[in-house]
Amino acid sequence: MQKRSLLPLGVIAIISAAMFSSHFGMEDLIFPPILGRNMGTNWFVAALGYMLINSVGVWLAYLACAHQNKSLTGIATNILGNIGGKIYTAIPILISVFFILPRVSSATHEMAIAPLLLP
Amino acid sequence: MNAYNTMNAIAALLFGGWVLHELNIRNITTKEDKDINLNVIGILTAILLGITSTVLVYLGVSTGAAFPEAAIGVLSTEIAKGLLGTIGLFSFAIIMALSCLTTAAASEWFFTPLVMKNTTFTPKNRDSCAATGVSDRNRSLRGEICQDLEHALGEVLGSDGLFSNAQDMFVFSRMLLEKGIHNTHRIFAGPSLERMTRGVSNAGLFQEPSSYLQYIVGGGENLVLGIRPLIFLIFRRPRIDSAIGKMGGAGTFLLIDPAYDLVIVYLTDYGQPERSLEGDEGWNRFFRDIDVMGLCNMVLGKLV
Repeated sequence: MQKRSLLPLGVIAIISAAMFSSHFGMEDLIFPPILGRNMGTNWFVAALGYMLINSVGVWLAYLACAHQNKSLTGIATNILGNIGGKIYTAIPILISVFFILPRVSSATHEMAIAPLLLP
Repeated sequence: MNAYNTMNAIAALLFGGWVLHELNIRNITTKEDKDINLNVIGILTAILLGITSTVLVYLGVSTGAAFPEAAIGVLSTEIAKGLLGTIGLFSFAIIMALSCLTTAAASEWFFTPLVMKNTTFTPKNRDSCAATGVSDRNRSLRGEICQDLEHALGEVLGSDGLFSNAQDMFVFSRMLLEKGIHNTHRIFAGPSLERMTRGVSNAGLFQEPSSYLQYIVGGGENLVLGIRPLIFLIFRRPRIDSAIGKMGGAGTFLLIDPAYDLVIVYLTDYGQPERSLEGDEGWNRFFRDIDVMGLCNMVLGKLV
């Protein structure tokens, strides 16, 4: 069997850190504290559930990418045919316009502008 | 404010393609290698995300009780972590910008598929390059085209400075002869190729040519920088419609003629004339040697 070659550990660590900081957005920062506050003493179960969807889900997604050797549109094209690729090109664009832009602006307003300028 | 659900799983599918791209650049090409690398990267990313989310949940547990009324988002501000969100955004922007900067599109889309290994900006071994000119302080320019100030700043001009050798030029020219296809793999789309090789539209005296590949040979009536006599010398006919080519001031020329399926790459290092092309010693030597050597006359004399 052919030996699998791994990149140097430093390079792997740098790419992982880059991917982590790309994933780590607004919601990863402000949602977990409110989750913990609402759950109270059961916080560890909540943290496990959140970890399941947030980090294990991410790992599974990378696993899928590695297995198919393709990105989101490539996988969608494999499953749904040509229209799948188009749908999954449209979805990130629509998400960015309708969810992420309002969210980023509102969060910036609530967390940075309002506390400082509108006391 | 209730839309604060993470989309990390969808994002990970997109970022997966990004990492695959990065692995391609780092010469990880077989499927098994990409598989194991992407797995390790995914596991490390998941571990980091898991640690931060758990810690943040614990943060909410330990301090959130002090603010029972605070809404989502405000809570983080209340516990004085709000500014980290902007840092996350900034880091994403910075990483995007850096990854865009380091992705050399030309090398990946053109030179790697064409296997032009010796074509590069900023050659690693500069001493093996022929001198292309002299800088302001009489420094011989090898493997760089920047003047002394830019050299001190460690820069290469963005508009220029791509270095190559005859083998690679030949590969590129053959790709142009095949109308943008190299080994059944299309490198240039039809419109791009047409734009690169289109003829000069008007025979104005010093008109800017619409296609730089047709700078010299296209339209024999043109007198572009006094090059026309040389054309007559080489080809002995006023106009070669099908041929395209480019002449470099350092004493190089490239000719591609689809009619005869012919590519000529001619490289010398007679140096770049300072002010005018005619009358300069190096240019005259170039001019004379082409004539004496008779290379092009010989080749084209049989054909034309």
